[in-house]
Amino acid sequence: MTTRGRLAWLDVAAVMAVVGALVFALMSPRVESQGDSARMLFIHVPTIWLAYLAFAITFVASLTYLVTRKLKWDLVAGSSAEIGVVFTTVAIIGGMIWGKATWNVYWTWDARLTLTAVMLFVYIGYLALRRAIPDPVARARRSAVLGILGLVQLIPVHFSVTWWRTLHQTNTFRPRDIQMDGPILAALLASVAAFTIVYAALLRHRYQLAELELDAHRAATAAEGPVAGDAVSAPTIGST
Amino acid sequence: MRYVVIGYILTYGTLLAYVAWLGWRLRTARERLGGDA
Repeated sequence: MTTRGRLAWLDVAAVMAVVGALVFALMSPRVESQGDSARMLFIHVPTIWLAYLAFAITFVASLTYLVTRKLKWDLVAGSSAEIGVVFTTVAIIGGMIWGKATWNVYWTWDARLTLTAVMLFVYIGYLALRRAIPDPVARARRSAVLGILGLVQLIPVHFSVTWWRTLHQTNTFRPRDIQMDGPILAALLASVAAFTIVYAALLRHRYQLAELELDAHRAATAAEGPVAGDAVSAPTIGST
Repeated sequence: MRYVVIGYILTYGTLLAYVAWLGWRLRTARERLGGDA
């Protein structure tokens, strides 16, 4: 059985988990203070959690690349960052719609919202940097630095609601101080689990694409023939 | 409820669009390399 065949169950699990989370979200009881708009919780919190996770994986993979110099870690870092950008975009869009429903404005220059937007632009810059450097080794080294520095901003993004007085509510999920009814908490946890499985499935496919792109680059370079500097061998996937 | 429906459609729509775009890029990359990777 191929790797694709062995891991196809992850795609099936992702679809099933999303359907299950949707059912949980729609069946959850109505929150009196916010009405039905509180159901945005079940997509807004999981998507920003996944953005944090994706960028944390980029950080770990970037650090691992700099230590091991194995290109596969650079591919993981780049793949995870792209998915993180998608989830951050989705979290901002969902948050804007929830903001319109509860604050009557789509956007305000609140600390949490502004810092999240800055985080999005930093990682869009990270992806742009990757596209700007054709050489895989140079790209890996330079983007690893940004991948590591980029995580620093996650701290003010997450704690902005406690450090400053913001329109955005304080962090929804506090493990030591859970103030949610059981069914709502269950629906939220189901959504977080579902989106995490979706992230894993997306990362697997995006990594496969990164490998194919690297293979295509090597094939194109080989077709062009030897050039100055070819005596220096580049690291390959799985080797030092 | 209107905002919830719009929010869910946009969220899942964006994710589905990304999945479709990723699938298209994967298929194109495999075709370019001349085989299933």
